[in-house]
Amino acid sequence: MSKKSSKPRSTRGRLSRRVFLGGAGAAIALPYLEAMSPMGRAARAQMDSPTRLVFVHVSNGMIRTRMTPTTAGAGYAMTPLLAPIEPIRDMVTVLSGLSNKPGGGYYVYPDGTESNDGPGDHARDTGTYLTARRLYKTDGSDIRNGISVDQVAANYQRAFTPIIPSLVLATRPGSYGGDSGYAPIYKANISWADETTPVAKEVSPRAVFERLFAGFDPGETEAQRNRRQALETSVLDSCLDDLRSLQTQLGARDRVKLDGYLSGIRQLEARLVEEPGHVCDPGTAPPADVNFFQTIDHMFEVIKLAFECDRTRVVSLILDKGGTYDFLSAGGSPISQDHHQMTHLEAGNADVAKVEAINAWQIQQFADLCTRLNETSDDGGSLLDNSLVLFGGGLDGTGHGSGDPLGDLTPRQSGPVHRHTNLPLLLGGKGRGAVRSGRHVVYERQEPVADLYVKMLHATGHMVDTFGIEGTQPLDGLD
Amino acid sequence: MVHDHSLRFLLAPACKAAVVAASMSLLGACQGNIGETGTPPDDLPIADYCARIETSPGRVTIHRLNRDEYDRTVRALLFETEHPGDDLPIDDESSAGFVNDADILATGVLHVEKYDSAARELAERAVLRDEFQTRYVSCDLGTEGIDTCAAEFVRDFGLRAWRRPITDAEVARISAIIALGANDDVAAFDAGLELGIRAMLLSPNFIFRSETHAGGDRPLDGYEVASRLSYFLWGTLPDDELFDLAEAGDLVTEEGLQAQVSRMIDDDRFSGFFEGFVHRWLQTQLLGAHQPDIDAFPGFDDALRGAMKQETELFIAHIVREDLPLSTLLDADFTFLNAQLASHYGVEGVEGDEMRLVRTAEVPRGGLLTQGSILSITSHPDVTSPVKRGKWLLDRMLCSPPPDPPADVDALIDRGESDEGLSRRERLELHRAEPECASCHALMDPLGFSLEHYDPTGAWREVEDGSGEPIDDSGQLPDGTEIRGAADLAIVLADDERFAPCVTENLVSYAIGRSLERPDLCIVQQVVDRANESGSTLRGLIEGLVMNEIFREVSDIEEVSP
Repeated sequence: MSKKSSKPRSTRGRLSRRVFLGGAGAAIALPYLEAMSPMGRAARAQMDSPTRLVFVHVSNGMIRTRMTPTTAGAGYAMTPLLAPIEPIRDMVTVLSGLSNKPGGGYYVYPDGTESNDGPGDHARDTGTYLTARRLYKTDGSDIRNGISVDQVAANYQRAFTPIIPSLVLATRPGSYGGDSGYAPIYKANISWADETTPVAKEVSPRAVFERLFAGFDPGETEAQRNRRQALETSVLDSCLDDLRSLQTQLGARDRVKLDGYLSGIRQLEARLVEEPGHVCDPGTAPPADVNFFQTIDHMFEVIKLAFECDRTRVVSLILDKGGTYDFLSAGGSPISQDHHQMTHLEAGNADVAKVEAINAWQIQQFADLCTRLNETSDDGGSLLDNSLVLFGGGLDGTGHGSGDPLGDLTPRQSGPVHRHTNLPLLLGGKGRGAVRSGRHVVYERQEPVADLYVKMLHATGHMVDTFGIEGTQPLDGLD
Repeated sequence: MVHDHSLRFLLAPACKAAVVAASMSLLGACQGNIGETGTPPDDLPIADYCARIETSPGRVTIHRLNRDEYDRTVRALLFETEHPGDDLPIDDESSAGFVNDADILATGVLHVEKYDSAARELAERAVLRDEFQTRYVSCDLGTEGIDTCAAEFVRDFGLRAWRRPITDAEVARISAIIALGANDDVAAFDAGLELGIRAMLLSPNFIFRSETHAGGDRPLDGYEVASRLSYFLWGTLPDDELFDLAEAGDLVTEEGLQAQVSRMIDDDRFSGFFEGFVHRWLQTQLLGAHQPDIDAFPGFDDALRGAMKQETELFIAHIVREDLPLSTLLDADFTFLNAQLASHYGVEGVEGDEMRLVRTAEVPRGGLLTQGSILSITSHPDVTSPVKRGKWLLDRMLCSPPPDPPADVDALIDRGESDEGLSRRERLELHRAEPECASCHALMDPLGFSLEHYDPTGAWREVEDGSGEPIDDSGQLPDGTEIRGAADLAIVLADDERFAPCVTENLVSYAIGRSLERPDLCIVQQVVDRANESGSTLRGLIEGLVMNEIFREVSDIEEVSP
């Protein structure tokens, strides 16, 4: 038992370097695990040797003809857009030919039912990326999607990292806007706890750090600790009393709204009884005021720390919601136009170079995150060896004019029709041997990305049978 | 939540437009290809529809404070000077663009974690503040003791924090927490207060505004009305005067409400209305992140953005406070400028950084449609977009947004040069010849073209950027009416029968914090009719809506259907 001080910790304005005693895993996981039935060998292995999952989303697709290698296998020829991954190419798998058809405007369900929801590809890009389901088209509050793969993973890892089952991150605050009859909520969220509830995103790396590493004081005595817990408990109990009396006076819809509040209070209770685990030093908190680049940089660092200290094992990140990239330049002048608008331009347009610069920057970010994980040691290798980092989106970019700067398609084909096939996807890491990386794997039949999600979940020991609408088996060809 | 889909579809904007425009306005409505995915629209005119149903105030789902409301609330409650709302998760917006739709605002584990750390920091800072101690802690601990002083604090502070009187049981419970936190030591009373404040700030009674179901259909009580008023007009909790009036029962009478609306509109806190309503309704909140082409418009800096935003705020505040006609929003002969914005607009004789009222009868400025804020956000970074501007006008001013284009059209047809050597106007005209595009573009494009003298940053120009061709700001509406320039456009919009209901619809949706269903449009019409009796002013609409049952009552029907 470690010693702690009873002084309630203040986080205000300072966060000095301190030793963190973290890792709920050892002390808490066991009772949870015993309650799980049946517990497979894979699950038991996850206790001490976790496989982490990261899901990164970028908007508006990629210029596929500049990204996709022309040859398959391990010795594929590098492409202009993939250049940033060259230093770690043996740790990355390039995936071609996967689809997320439930994201299409027109869709035929496996049972033959047809559905035509018309325009709204950007809402469907974001909304279905990790759910692989059909969005219910509404601009009202009657939202319907499905649980996302990161949250399926989080629910499973809850047994091991109960305090923070997953991190749901974004890099830019502000409006995401609606899209063609879809409510803005679809376009703003890739992580969904259930059919109707997106998981709130964090945009401040400092706040994420605080959440990951708050509240541990190695100098606290047992008496101090008991008193601190009594004080905290009095606050939480009071809130539960308030909640109970409120619930008796409300209607059904209100009570549903309060469910999330109750889960939150329960989470705080769990944190209160958390026992110190193995020692981990997270270092200094990121500063409060950071620009867009610094935000990305610190977010990556926080992800690395979270894995290193085993505070969480699942992360989703909206790297970029599109918009302007005036920090980049192409042909000597800054890129001031809107990314999405440029991706609609037709073949041969000068803006293609700008879109390419944006895509290269995005892939550079992915390479940076992978490199950082690769440089951090973990049992049996690096964090990247024991992780799977998916990068991409639910739109191919080919339907955008920019998908064909080389002029292979007719003008009509290169017009602004967004497609949800041939997704631009990169998979970093080996997932503890689940994936044989360093290759360009080509799928010929537009296999569903949902199968990839089944595969990724299996790599963490969560042996689901299905995912989304179309995921029925772990994706072939990766191991 | 169950929705009647046919009902919901009736509310689809394009259809609603057709309904509201029962007697055809000059502009008419466009239909596009909306029939594909839903039920055909019911063409029952709104007046007939409303004659057949009995209106009901409906019920608003329990309402989580959004980030801005949280911020303003703790400022007023605790004399907080920082912005703890910035650390809270981003709130999702409704399709109308507001971030106070109770059904959309989700609450998850992350929220509660953030509320917990915010409450911790807020409480720690609050007890150190002299204003806080002076305002809430007057009890003599030496003679009264911890329990009495704690109870006194909880009743006073709790009334404000929870926006209603605290029950005896609640007082006892929180007081016990204070005593525990103080370890029954008078010298440690502040530590106790800190814990008690945390318990009250993390409570659902603080985080949510709720109107209980007890009593079924009923008028709201004074405290509930006080909260609705203050979050509508100020975006924060009621002040002492509102609480006093709530207790005295003066907020359930028309006279009492009238007096408070007047007072609140004149108060500085009315600024909460701009962030929460005005900039969301007009979409001018996008201005902060809007970046026109840097090479072409190097002068577009944060100071100019700020001045544009302020122009819109001061303009609307003036119209409300001076009780000017609603149409002034479109056809005013004044605006608010400082030297930088005036020079951007080419208006002479305005000095200094301070924004001031400027008469604009002699210059082509006046009315929202000529304001840089709106002209900028409806432009591409490098060129204007008559289509975006036309769409904004139909959507924001008339609540009749055109339906989305068919999936395979070139959405960027109005931008840039073309290969065929056609001008933008020629290309758009060609485009309009295609039947699937015709009905909507015949409406959107001429509206947008009438603003062509205003460049992508809202500055005046005589010739086309690049080509140097003289600007042509003429257009022909579908009924053959010729319009030219912003002044004609303002007249057409101000005369449109959908304008007042549209402004009202947005106001009502924001004021009660939920999206509107078709029966609610009958209430919108009641509010418009009432305002018409007193000269149809924006202020009249605000007052009329506050007097209406939709603001003052709740019914226990969860799903209203005709």
